[in-house]
Amino acid sequence: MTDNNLSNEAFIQQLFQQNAEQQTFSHENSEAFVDTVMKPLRRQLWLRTAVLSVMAGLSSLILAFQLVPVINILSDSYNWLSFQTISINWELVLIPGSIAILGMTFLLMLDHSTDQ
Amino acid sequence: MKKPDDKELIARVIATQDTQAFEALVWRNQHLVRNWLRQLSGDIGMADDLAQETFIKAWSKLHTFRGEGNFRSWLMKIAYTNFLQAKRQQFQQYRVLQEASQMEADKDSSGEESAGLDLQKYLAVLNTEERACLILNYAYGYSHREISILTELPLGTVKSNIRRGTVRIRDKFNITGTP
Repeated sequence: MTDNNLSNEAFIQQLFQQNAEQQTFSHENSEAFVDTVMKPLRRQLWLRTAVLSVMAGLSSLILAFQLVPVINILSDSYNWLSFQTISINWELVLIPGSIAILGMTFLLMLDHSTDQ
Repeated sequence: MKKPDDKELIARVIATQDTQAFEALVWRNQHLVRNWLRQLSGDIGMADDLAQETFIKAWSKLHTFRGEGNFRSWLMKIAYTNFLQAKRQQFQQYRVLQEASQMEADKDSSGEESAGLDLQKYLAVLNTEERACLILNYAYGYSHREISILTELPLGTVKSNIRRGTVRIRDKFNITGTP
């Protein structure tokens, strides 16, 4: 290595050392930056938890509805929460509902895996 | 009470998505990532935006951190990749910025020496790879091998980037001795 290279390396080292002392952030500045990072993450986490809670609630409800006829058969009393008297075709509600829930779960899982 | 180290905080984030643990990691490492990106881009606004993206990516990719290497190096690698992607996406805008920096550097080098040492003025004459290698080597004390891993450049390229970068600064600013 030539003398010229050595002096240049020393110069570069000094340049970076002096600059390193200047590169500090105030507490307020750091706090604002951390807030900017954490806000969307907390929102994302909160939203995911909320969606999952709603889905879990809906799934439980659908499961409960699906269990009702079974319970009716088992108890041999078709009058208990007698669905037959209600003019709604439950199959039309439950089947698309279940498909929608499964679809949402799949999309959420897909979203989670693409995040990672 | 002893403060938890980085590995402990990472484990908490992976296990329970603990936002407080991640916030502590951001506090500890934000100055490093922001400085690294400021030195790379020469633009405070762009650097802070990229630093924010870096931490958001780190949050979602934290499970891929195996804990074998240094967490700081892992973050700096994400930041560097982010910077390269942003540079590619905004090539036109970035070129204008580079040209402006270049013009600033030319103006400063042709005039009288400023009282302080302005690092950005010198770094502006380097290309991205040279700049990254030089900063990692001199500002963060990384070895050539570590730089090679972080930047995904071959070891020989890292060495020649550092050599070429120092020579380019010397030639551009006509440095013949220590200041």
